[in-house]
Amino acid sequence: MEVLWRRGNCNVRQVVEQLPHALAYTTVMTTLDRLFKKGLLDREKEDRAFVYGPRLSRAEWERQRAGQFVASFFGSAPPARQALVSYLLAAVEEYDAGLLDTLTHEIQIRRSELEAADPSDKT
Amino acid sequence: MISLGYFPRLICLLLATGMVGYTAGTLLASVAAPRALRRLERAGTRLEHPDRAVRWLLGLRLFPLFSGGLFAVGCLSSFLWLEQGRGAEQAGVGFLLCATAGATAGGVMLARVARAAWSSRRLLRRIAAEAEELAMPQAAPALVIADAAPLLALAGVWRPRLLVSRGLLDALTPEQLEAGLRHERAHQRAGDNWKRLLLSSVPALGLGSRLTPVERMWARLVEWSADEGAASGDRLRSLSLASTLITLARLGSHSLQCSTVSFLAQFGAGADRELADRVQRLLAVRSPAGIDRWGIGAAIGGLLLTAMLFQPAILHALHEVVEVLVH
Repeated sequence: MEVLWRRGNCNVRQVVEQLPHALAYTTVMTTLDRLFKKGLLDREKEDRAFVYGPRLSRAEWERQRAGQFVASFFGSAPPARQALVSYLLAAVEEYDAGLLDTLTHEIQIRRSELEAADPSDKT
Repeated sequence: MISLGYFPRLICLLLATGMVGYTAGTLLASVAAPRALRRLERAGTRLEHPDRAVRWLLGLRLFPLFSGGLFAVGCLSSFLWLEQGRGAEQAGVGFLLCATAGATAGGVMLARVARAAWSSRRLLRRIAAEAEELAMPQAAPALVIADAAPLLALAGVWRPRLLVSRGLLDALTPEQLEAGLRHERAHQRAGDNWKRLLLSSVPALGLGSRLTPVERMWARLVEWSADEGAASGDRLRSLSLASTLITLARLGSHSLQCSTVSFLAQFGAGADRELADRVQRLLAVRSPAGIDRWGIGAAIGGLLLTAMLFQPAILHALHEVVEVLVH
């Protein structure tokens, strides 16, 4: 993926030449084929060889990857999830933006009150 | 009727009496549960001592285990005392059916514990392989997960580890992070993952509709209790934790929009209310709870009840019950 993001569309031989460590042509060919089957690459046939290109830009890919672990964690089967993990807040939820603003405002008011009071009276 | 030797009879007796006591305990707990839940619902966010409520709810849900164990120990003691060295005896089909049910319930419970332990081990191994370690103040190193979505959790039962996502570390101020860590340390001190494990492994014997709400209420109040444990009556800590919760909620909503798993929004039913309740409680900071006299009374009552079991008169009465049950 790094090579394809850097160089753009490449065939297998060009990818092999760009790799920092020597790898067999067939190994790279198989890997690119797997990435294509997973939907991460596009490919077109040119002169009896496939030319591969990334389906997503690096930024798009990173954005899509963001939240995958946490989402899969909160989406796992309830018995295993609940038995083993205490979490601060079920973070992958859709909260009402208005409610969050109201609560933030209330916290700010209390904080101002606390700061205005005698510092020794903080507890 | 089937002839059973001394030891097979002893094993079957343990299983059958355990099952009878467990069933009776489940029925009693299912009768008491709606009343207890109504009382807690009425108290709402004004609930004074969530830590006490959490203990009572745990006791209520695990009461079948206590009653099953107590009845089995009592019957077993009377059997060992009054039937010492006796040979084979005829056992009724009902007795064998009770023993089979007891073995099944025990097996289900052990299987659930094993599954949860295995899942825990697998989850932590998977995370440890990908995560980097980060030194934490007054705690074991946390595992930092390279993920933009927010996560702050305590995972595992025997050696719980703190899990933090990179997205959360980048988003929280040091004060907010400390507040979140104090919350997780409160869970660790209270052994909440152990309690979750126990709650999720106890069979409800078909009365899940009455007993599952007890587990849900426990899961809700255990967070309130950890919030109060983290704040320890300090107003500034309370406000920091409240703002941590809001930051997490904002990040969570944002990552949900970015990610491809929009179906997870279905878990958000009631999430707004739950968040608002927790923040409101943190804004009205309370002083730490004093001595729980009712809790101490219940513990002493349980000990006295257990001690009474070994009185000769009680053992003779239990032996009569054993004779009826076996034959």
